[in-house]
Amino acid sequence: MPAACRADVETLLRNKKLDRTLVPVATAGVPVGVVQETAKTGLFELDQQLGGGLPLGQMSEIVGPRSSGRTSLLMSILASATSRGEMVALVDTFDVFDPESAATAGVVLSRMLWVRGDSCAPAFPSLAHRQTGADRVITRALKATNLILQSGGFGVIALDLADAPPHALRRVPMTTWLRFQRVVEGQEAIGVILGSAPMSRSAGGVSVSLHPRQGQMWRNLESDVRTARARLVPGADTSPVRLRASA
Amino acid sequence: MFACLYKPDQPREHGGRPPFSPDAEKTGSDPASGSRLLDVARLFSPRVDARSETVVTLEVDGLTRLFGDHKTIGDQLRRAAVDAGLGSVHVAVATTRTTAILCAAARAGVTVVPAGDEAAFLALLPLRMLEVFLPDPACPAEAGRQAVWRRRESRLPRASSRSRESRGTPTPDTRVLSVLSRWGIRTLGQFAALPAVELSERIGQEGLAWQRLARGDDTGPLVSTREEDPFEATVDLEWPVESLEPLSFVLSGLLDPLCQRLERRDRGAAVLHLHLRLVTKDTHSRSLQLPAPMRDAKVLRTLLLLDLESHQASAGVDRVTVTIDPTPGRIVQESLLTRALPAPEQVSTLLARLGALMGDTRCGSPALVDTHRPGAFAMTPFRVPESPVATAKVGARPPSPSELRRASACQGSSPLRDSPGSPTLLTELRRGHVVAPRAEADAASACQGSSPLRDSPVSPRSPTACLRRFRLPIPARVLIDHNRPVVVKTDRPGLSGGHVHACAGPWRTSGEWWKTSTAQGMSGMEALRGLTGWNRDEWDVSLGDGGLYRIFEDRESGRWFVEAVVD
Repeated sequence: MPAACRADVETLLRNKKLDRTLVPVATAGVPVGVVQETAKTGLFELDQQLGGGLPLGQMSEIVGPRSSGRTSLLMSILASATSRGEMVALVDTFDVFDPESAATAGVVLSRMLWVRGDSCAPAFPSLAHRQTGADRVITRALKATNLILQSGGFGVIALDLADAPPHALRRVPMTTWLRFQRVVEGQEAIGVILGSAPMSRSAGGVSVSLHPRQGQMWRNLESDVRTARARLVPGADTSPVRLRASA
Repeated sequence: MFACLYKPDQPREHGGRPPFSPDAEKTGSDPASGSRLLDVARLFSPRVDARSETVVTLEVDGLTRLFGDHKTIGDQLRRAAVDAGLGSVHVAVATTRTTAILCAAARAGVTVVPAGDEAAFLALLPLRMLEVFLPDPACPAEAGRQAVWRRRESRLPRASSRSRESRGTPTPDTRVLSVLSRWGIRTLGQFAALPAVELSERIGQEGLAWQRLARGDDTGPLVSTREEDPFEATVDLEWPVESLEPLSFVLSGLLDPLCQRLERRDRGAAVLHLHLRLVTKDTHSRSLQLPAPMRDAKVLRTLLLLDLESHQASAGVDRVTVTIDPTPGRIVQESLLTRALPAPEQVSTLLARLGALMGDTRCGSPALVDTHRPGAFAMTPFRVPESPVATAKVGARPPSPSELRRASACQGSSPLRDSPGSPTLLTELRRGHVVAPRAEADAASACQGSSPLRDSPVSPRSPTACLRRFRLPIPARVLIDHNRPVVVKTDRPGLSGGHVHACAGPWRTSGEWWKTSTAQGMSGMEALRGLTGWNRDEWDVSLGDGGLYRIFEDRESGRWFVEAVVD
């Protein structure tokens, strides 16, 4: 987008008092303007690429296909937060969280609020007659996330929708994501949504996309991690960071 | 003038022994008799001080116009104590509380000490009478009062007191009395006659404080023991209420004045009781154990309503009673240097709302259990640590599996199971899962001589491959070739499976054989739910759909299941 058009858009946003959604353009990894507070993810290379970590007061998302390392990355974020003494919350929509893995990853379980969804609901693209079950489970999970966001006091609030059917996610009103963004704004907290495809994040948030590497997968759970910031800024995607999850 | 009611302990032997004797078997204080003693004293005067379960003092100024002389007052007190079922109670009336307490402890019956004759009455009393002023563990107020007195009066240097404590010597309170006994002091009169300067030079200010007691001097004014009013409120409704919305207004009307009383008394609600009398004459009762003392009426009302949403009354309500169990208010000093934690009120409200939305048992903190059962965990109540300092101390990085293996090796245990199969990452992954169940349990039992948990600095580490575990494993159809799975298929939509590109295993695991096994007629579902033992061969497979799965064959039934996805 030409610079003049961009300047016009930013001026319009400021006039409408929507300039909080503006994100400074990153140049060579160094942000311009106000430095956004971040929280580390626990991965050094990813934190470097993100300029310190995931931004506070924003909704970010971790997306990728199955076995790409999404859960491992989320556990790393939770472990980093709990090691800092923060309380974290995980809304486990389909009750697939494994405490053993989390403890091995370094999560302090006593500082974690685990909200378990319905494990009997179909966790994968469902048959027609089971659509209402997944919708109901997702709706409850969204309500639980909203309650936790409004309560405040948590360092990381994670919503696990990785196994949600895409058609059920498409039925979630857009206002739901906007409400999450409004609630988390201004808090010293990170909102993280785990999914199989990009669905929603704050304009100031980060989309972390994982792409499993072929061939060498058996040695380690390897993925290329790409991050994306403001969609209006071209070329925001940087070179991928390799995520290697091991024991 | 002051009066003292003293309830002596039952002596070991009867006849001839003084009522107060160090050799008498201490039967322990009876809280019920202590409260009755207090009630008896309150019949005569509002200014009552309960020093312990057996000693109560009261101010009797002005009672002469009601009862007559001080001897009559003492007789009336003794008669009231007998009528209250307390048996023989010693009563003493004197110009100072200390004199009244010493005389009541030393003499049975009613003793009246005329003004100016305190020294004569106390002179012949044995020195051990002063032990009545030692703090009673059953009376925290008295213990606190004694602690303040000791801090104010004692000038002993810290080093000497620490060395004395390290040698296991008696506490400073009884130490002074033992020193005096060794000096040959036998009576309060001899103790009171000692020169104050020389006494302070040898024993210190604590000795002077004891000497003042021996002379019958009061160390402070009488502090009345306040009567605790029950925190209870009841309202009878004009017409029965069946829904929660009108009940909300009723609860607000009851909780607002109760919370104001709590605030005036610097108390918080520890337990909240709600009794709803129904039109069917039954009572629907609920009790909420609060995680922290609270006195916010809105929060308490919200908690009650959320609880009633999950546990509704079966009929209309015509009487509402709210009772609060009070507890002293907390003083929490927040730190400016650490991150603020959610307030207990916020957390309790959040948990109540989440419980109403998702279910009471679906919200909490996960905890590992000491078992080898795959996927075993427990749900514990979610709690916020009270002190930010506590969270700062526990901010160390949790131990890595290698550290836990080292710690376990020091203990002589071998956490690694035999794991045949290809020595790949998955072997390491399995080792991590073997050690992980003991991660929390062994955190406090690290190898002696080293503390890897506390000394390990926080350092960046690569992420650990985590599982997404199905609570009920998914049945699968597996084609075996050369004792290895080659095709895995399921009927679950979205998990159709495919050809196996690579696999590792099997890892044989079994346990809890003492529980009923599937061979004895229990269905496989009980085994999957963890109600029986398990006996399985586990594999890690990479399928054509790009996923990495953990599957297992139940060796009892020969069935295959998909247990988890590695993500």
